[in-house]
Amino acid sequence: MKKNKYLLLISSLGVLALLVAAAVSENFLKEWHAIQGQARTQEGPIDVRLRQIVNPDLKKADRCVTCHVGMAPGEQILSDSKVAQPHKNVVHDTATMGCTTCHGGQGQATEKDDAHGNVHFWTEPMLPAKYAYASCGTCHTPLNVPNLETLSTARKTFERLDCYSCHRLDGRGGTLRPGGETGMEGPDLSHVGLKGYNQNWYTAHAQKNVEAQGGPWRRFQGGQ
Amino acid sequence: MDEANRSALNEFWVNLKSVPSQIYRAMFRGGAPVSDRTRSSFVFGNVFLHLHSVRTHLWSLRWTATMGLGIITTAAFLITLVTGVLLMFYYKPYPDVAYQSIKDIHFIVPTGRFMRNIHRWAANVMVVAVLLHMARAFYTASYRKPREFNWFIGWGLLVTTLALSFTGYLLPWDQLAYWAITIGANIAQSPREITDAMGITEFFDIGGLQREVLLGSDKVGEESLIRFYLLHVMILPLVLAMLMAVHFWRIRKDGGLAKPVDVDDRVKADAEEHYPVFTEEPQKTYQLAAVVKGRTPAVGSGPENTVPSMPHLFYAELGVLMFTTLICIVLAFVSDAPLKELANPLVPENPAKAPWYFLGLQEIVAFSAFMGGIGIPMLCWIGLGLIPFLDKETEGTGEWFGGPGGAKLVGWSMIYGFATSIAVEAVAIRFGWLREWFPDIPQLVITLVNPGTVITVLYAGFSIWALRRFNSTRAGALALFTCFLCGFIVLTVIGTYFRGPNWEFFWSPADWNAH
Amino acid sequence: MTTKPTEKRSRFEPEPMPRRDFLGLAALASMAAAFFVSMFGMLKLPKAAVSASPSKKYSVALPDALPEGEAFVPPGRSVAVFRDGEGVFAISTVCTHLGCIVKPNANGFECPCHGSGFSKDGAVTKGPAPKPLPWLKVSKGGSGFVIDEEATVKTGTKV
Ligand code: HEM
Ligand code: FES
Repeated sequence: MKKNKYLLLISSLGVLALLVAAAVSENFLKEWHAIQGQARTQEGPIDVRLRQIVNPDLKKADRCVTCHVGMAPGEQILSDSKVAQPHKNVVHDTATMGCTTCHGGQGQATEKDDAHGNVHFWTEPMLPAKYAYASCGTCHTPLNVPNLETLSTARKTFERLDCYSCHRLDGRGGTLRPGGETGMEGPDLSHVGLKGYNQNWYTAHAQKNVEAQGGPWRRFQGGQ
Repeated sequence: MDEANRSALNEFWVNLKSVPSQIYRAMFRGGAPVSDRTRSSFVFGNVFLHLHSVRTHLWSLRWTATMGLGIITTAAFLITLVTGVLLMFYYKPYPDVAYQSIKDIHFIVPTGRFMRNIHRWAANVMVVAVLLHMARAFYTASYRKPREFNWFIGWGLLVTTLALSFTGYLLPWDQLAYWAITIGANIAQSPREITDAMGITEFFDIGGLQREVLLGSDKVGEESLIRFYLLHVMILPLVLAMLMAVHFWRIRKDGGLAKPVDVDDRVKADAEEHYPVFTEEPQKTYQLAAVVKGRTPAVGSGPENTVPSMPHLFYAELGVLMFTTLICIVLAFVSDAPLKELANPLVPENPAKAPWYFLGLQEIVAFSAFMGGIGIPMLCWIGLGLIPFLDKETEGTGEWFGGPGGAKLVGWSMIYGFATSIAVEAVAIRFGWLREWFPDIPQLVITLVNPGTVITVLYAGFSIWALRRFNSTRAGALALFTCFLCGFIVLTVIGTYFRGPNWEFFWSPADWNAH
Repeated sequence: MTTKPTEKRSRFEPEPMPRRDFLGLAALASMAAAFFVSMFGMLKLPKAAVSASPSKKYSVALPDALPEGEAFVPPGRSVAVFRDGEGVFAISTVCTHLGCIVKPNANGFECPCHGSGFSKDGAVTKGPAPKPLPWLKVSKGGSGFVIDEEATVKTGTKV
């Protein structure tokens, strides 16, 4: 019986210690605890808690504002830490719109790497800030959006290089098929913006084309 | 005020003051459990405790008797029960939403991530423990009369445990879950291989029916999710709890755990520590015994060498409970429960693997869906259930590797079991199988002759040899059980660690060429 | 079991064991402590850490032609916004009795659930509601007005 009592004692103490450790790490040691702990408003420190922007129309809950507290609805943060800064004024009300619609990333997450999408098993990492306009197209395909100039340059390029001949875009184009009637259809590009951008993709794609030994597209373009 | 009224009021006041002590007495009718006798009445007066007998044999209390495996399984179940109910506060069983709710549990639910990790780990601990517990009951020959029925119940518990784990696997609705269940459901469809080969699938499609009833649709979708959820949180836990109650109660009715016949010569109670049971004349007449037919297992054997279950057995049980909790919490601490990308029905995982305890099956399914998925598992399962009725010898009951052949036979069986399964697998991996050699071979031949069936036949042959060599059914059983256990381990390890994309062989997962 | 039986003991007698058995008591106490701490975790779980509803502070764009005395209800919100000569103000439309949504009518508001009535400025005129409908904080901001449902202002404050 003594052995069993020791088993009970030691196991229980182990469980106790781990439970306390888990409680401490969950309630005090997360990165956002430190960030919010330093944030100040005119009235003094803010209360440290999880925050989120819920956008019921898009069925999104973005918790980015747990660290970027300056952008949380109704917060007026004064401190000069970079994460806690407010959002610059843009057309949309960021406090109702949410973050990931434009910036991509994993809005549900509350830890930096997960939120920025730099983890395994999250397929849409954050867009680099300068490409954030790329997401306008997610909702406003045919409308004029702030990046209109870039967009029209891109549209013209698309037109000029005659990408429409094989690729369909917003219901236009895609009439030609490499290899004739039975050939392969060019992929529809209407929604490529939806899943975020990989800025290296086009370079890699062009490179692949250079390296490719044949294939319908090359043959069609007069290659081997 | 008249007399009667005053005293009633007075009585009310006295009653009110004594409410706490009355509640205490109502709960502990036999008085505080401080003497052996009051402890006994405490145990049999409590609905949960009375599943135990009031006294436990010293033999059964030794750590080596059971390794605590049954209690570990029970403890793991209790842990999954508690954490699972907590997860239900936030889990939403609908495709995609389910995935998001798991993300929420991971990121914002207070203690959610920890609870989910513990739940996942406890579930795995439970599967491992139930397998080991079964092996323990087998190797100590504890399935024999009068315990055949309890072995039977245990057999049901094994299946229920695996089913619980399998249904839980789908709930996160990530790629891992989605494709594991797709594979699992297709295994359920594998009788089609036979019906197809016989050309009767059109009239008699038992495989397709099984799969459709399991999934509620023709593919894994929202119907399957709600079905799996219902099974996972309601039906199977209730079935398991009920079977467990019967399992425990039977142990008591079967006279405690199995013990060697000469057990009282082997363990001696320390006279200093333990008090004899019969120091005074029995005060009860055994009227009930005259009514009930047959003899109960405990009659005729003295209760000496037993100690009161409270506290002796309870310390052991609580110790194992907390030990199991510790294991699960440590695992939960060092490793997060997996969650891959959101399920995508159009992009299969490659390799798509079933839960680990089915990877042995998936390995032989890769040769013949029917044999791997239904034929051989059914054979093992039925064989397992029939063990107590096929081996009715008495030698070695209650002892590790008891019976003719003993530990030595088990050792040889292990070597044989590992060697043959590895050899057959090596041939199949290195040189391929019949279809690679004779491309036009009919499917029925492959169904009959494939690595799974070859290993099975080799094992059966060895078992028959052992049975004749020792002229004992127990020896045959020892050989066969050990071989199958080794085969299970080999195939599971190969399926888990050495199979990559397209189920091809790889020396290490690092060699899977990523795309 | 620490005490030695001094003489022949019977199983009817209490064992003085529990008082002396430090190991056993320590084991049971640490188990109880572990359970106690885990209880905290379990009780903490059902209380959500963050509200699942949208932010209570939002901006509204009032239609230019909003007649005086007519309520503008921002989509999906339980607020009535008014504009009159003195400015803009917002009144919560959540009944102070048991939380039904009140309807604007000719005299003010009426509650469909238990018949409470409120005047145009939210004061209770009828029924079981214990308090007037609160006025919510409105501020000028962005392209229109920002309403903060979590901050109330004195009845009669207009922006
Ligand atoms: C959820 C699954 C199960 C639970 C919770 C469970 C629990 C237990 C417990 C607590 C005991 C007491 C002895 C010990 O701790 O080892 C026991 C005994 C036993 N179990 Fe299980 N068991 C399970 C599954 C099984 C399976 C799969 C089998 C075999 C097919 C089985 C066969 C037996 C037998 C024969 C005994 C009596 C052993 C003896 O008399 O020595 N049980 N079980
Ligand atoms: S809720 Fe409005 S009157 Fe009761």
